[in-house]
Amino acid sequence: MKTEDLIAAMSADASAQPAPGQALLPRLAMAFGVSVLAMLVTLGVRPDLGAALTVPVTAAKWVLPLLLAVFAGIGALRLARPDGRPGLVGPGMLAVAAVGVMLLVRAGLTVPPDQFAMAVRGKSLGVCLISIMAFAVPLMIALMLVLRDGASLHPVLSGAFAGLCAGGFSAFIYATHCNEDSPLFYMVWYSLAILIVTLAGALLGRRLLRW
Amino acid sequence: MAKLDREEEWAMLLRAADTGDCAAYRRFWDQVSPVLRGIVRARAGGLGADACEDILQEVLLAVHLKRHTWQQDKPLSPWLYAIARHKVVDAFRKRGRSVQLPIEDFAEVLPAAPGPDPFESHDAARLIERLDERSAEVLKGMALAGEDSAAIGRRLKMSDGAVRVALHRALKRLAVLRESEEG
Repeated sequence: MKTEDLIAAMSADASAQPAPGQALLPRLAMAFGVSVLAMLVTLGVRPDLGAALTVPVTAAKWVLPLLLAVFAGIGALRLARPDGRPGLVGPGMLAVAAVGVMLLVRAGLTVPPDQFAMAVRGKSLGVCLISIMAFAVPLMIALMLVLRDGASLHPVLSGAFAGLCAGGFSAFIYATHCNEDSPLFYMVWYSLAILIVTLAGALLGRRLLRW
Repeated sequence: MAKLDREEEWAMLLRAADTGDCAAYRRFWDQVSPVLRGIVRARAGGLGADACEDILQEVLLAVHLKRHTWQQDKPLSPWLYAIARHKVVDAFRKRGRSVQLPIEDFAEVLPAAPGPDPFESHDAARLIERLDERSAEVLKGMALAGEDSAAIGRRLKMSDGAVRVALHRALKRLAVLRESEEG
């Protein structure tokens, strides 16, 4: 095909295309709803949710993943443009991680040494890992569909941001069920689950976000 | 100064294209494609003239299909250059060669006249045949026979909207096929 012919065909295809960001919120909201519904049906909300939210160290298990998810989502969206830069998203995520590590260390120092292993292991780490990974699936699908429409120059990094976003929101949803309130538990296992989802996102990104 | 004016005009034409103005979009391509060709030649000249034209077509298709990722209030050149650079690097990668491209802008690039047609004869025909029938017909009519959408609509008994949808889908599919062809 001559370049001239290609140009003729493309010129006839002039019309507005929605920006990649426009589709993100509705699709993400829908996926979030699906995951919340899945959590409600399979696990249910912890009975003492209201009381738990008033304890700062416990509330952190909602706040930290949520912040992480928002930063990662913004990062993914910025990178979806060829001339986009992630900006302050990286430092923001580092700050969230730093707060988490501080909570973890403080909890580690206050728990008696003979109870340390038990506090980390908790009673529900299997459910925790599987649930966070499972609830991340609808979110990951929504994010990949939106990002495929973009034009990231760094498909692996974009995919990792998407995974971090999906994992963060998923941990936020799972926290509503989970009654393990020690940072020794949630900082270890939530982080591990989110990390796995992030890696999955990076692998998916390498395949799906090329153009 | 001239560079700024040129950039402003390109941006204006591309914004007009977003409102469905095909004539403005055509002018956009007539102005931008020689410059992009110059960039591709400057970076990938070593791969040969027909490879350059091939890469240029990938750049043009990418600009077309990803134009919604340009923010209309941002400068257009960095966005265009990022896409061109990405596709040139990709072309080297596909051919098993690595390349270091300096980050530059359009300043010193001279527009270039068309080169030999890369795969006028065999490749394009083969790719088009892998599209579904309607998309192939619309693309052939539009690109090769120079028909307008109304004429194609009458011939294929499709509404104007359906022709446009088919054309858009065909171009998208073409980009995917080209990407996977050379893998």
